[in-house]
Amino acid sequence: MEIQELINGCKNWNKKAQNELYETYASRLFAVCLRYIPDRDNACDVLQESMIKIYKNIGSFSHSDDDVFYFWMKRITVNTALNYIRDNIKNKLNTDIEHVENEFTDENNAGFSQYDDMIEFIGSQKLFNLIQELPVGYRTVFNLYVVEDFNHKEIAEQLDITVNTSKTQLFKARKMLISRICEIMDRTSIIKEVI
Amino acid sequence: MKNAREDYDLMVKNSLNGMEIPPPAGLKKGVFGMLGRYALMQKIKRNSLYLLLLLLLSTLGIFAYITIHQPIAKTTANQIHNSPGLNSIAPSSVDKNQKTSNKINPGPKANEPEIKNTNFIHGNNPSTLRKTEKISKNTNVQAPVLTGVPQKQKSENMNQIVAVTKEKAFAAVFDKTSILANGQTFVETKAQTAYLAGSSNSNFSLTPEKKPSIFTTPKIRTSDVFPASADLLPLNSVTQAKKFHNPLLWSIGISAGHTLYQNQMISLPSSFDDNNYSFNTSMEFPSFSIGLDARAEKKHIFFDFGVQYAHFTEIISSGDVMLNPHEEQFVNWTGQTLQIDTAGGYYHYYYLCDSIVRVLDSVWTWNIDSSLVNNYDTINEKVYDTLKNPEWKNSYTFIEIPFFFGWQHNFGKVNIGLKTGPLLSMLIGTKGYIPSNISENATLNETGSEFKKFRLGLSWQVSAVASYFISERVLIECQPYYRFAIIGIKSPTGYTLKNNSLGLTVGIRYYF
Repeated sequence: MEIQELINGCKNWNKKAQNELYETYASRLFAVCLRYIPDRDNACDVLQESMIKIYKNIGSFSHSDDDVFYFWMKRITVNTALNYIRDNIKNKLNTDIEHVENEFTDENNAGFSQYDDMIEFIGSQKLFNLIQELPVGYRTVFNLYVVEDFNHKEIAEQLDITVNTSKTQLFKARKMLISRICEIMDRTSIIKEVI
Repeated sequence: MKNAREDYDLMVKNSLNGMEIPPPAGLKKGVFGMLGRYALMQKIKRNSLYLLLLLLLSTLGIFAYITIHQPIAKTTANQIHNSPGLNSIAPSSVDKNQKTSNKINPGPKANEPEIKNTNFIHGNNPSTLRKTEKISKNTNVQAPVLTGVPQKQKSENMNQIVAVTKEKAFAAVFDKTSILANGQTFVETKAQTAYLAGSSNSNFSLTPEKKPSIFTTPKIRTSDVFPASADLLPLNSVTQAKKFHNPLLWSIGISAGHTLYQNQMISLPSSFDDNNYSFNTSMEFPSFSIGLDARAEKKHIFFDFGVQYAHFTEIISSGDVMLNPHEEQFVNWTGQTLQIDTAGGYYHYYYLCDSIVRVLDSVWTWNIDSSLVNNYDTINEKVYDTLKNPEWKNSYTFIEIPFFFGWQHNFGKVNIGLKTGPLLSMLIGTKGYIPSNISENATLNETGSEFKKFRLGLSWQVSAVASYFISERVLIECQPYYRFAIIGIKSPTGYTLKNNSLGLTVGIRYYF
């Protein structure tokens, strides 16, 4: 089914079109949910709520481009996930900073010179898992800034935090992520040497 | 460092963006279950408006039926009015009398001898019912037979029966009485004349027919109608009498109103809340309504039912909007390639320079030049003209059906009261544009494409009523009102049209 046909079908509450939309996009949107909410059950709830919102509001979508349509759906999903985070784990968005601030003191570990290799080395799935393992505040800001292209001001508004908090969280998130990637790389190289 | 960081971000983004993780199989069932319930609720919501309309019409019908037929008062009054007690008796009307009596207390059968052979009928021991007899005898109104009842109880029952009979007579007096809007003037009828004449003599004897005459009386009190000696009069007859001081009045009114303040009428779908686009609205002249209504009024309570034409206008001050979508071709830079050109060639000679110059060899050498060439691709893209903070006017037209009930109190020529009730609105036309967007700017759609005709909405209105009688039958009204939408008119794409407004209505009303 063409994308325009799919959208029109969903606008008319055509079950076949709704089913196809779910089959086409649910997996990608579920990955988005899991990036923000690592717990599968909660991510399922968020995806369910997002899908309902998408079906309800698809009438207001007037474009016929596949990318724009996916962007629109992803935006709804991200907003729903943020609402969930705001409602359920709001306090952690601010308290996480204090917790991790003392954890990384070695700035050298956070060099940005060898990322290409690092990311290629660990692969998408592992990177995804590492992002999931980040504390909720870091994870949320990192996702919003790096993946969704929000700026710090927008993130601050969305999460009800200050711009500086957003910047700090992003910086710490990056460091933490790189540190974890380095750990994995070291472990792997040791194993290689042993072998 | 910054560039490295940006590259890193881009790599992470690209790495994560394409990820797919299939959700659990049960989730799909849950999503479609919820969707089904939502669709059902929408259907119920839509149909509930029609159901409500039906309910209101039924209520109106029942109300009208009850008030028009007046089951107790009118039928009883007619029975008495037709009874020989208030008309000259013909012998043939005895059976008819019997019928009336049986309705009061179905005692004897129609063919019992005492019914046929007496002008008034009583129990086995008439001496215990002297008062009853006296009245019954004088008025020729039948007293029903009471058999098998103790004497004292019979007496009480008879008292009640006589009281009921008097009540009926009273009803007959007012049966053909018309009370005008100011509630002061009565038209005297034959029955009334007969009754009043009879009451002044403390009995119910009839006088010959009188021609109707008009007289004015400030108020009819129970004591005026019933003689002081009527010690048989029970309490319920007084309340019954009061009922007839307040007959059902019908009137029609024409009114015109204008909105003084109104809220934003259109609202965007909830998904738009996440975007930065916003707009404000303000009321614009004209936002008015013109209506026609019928009113049924009894004592202080009244019920209005009508139809009105309402036209609302608002100015929309919008954020940036994108207009005039059209395709344009863009040249897209796709990178650089190295182009190698050969620009001819030349012979390169090798010489041995000695005392004698000798050519040893010659080779042809190509002149080669290379240059970086930019590559471009042509792409079609939809582009819009951007309009900075435009303003435009939208208007919405409705046919509305109000169902109001209210209470009012009379202070001489002035009535003051309150009324409230639902307003069923049907959209019959719109003009203007509605913002439609998915990002920071909006595109504009025509309102007509969003809000289809004949969609229904429901509002509730509360009004204060102040009216002044300029003549016996005509009054002018002034009604400040507040109305708010209970169910807005929804477009298929999720926009909602609601009217919450404050206004003033003036009108004129005529009483029949």
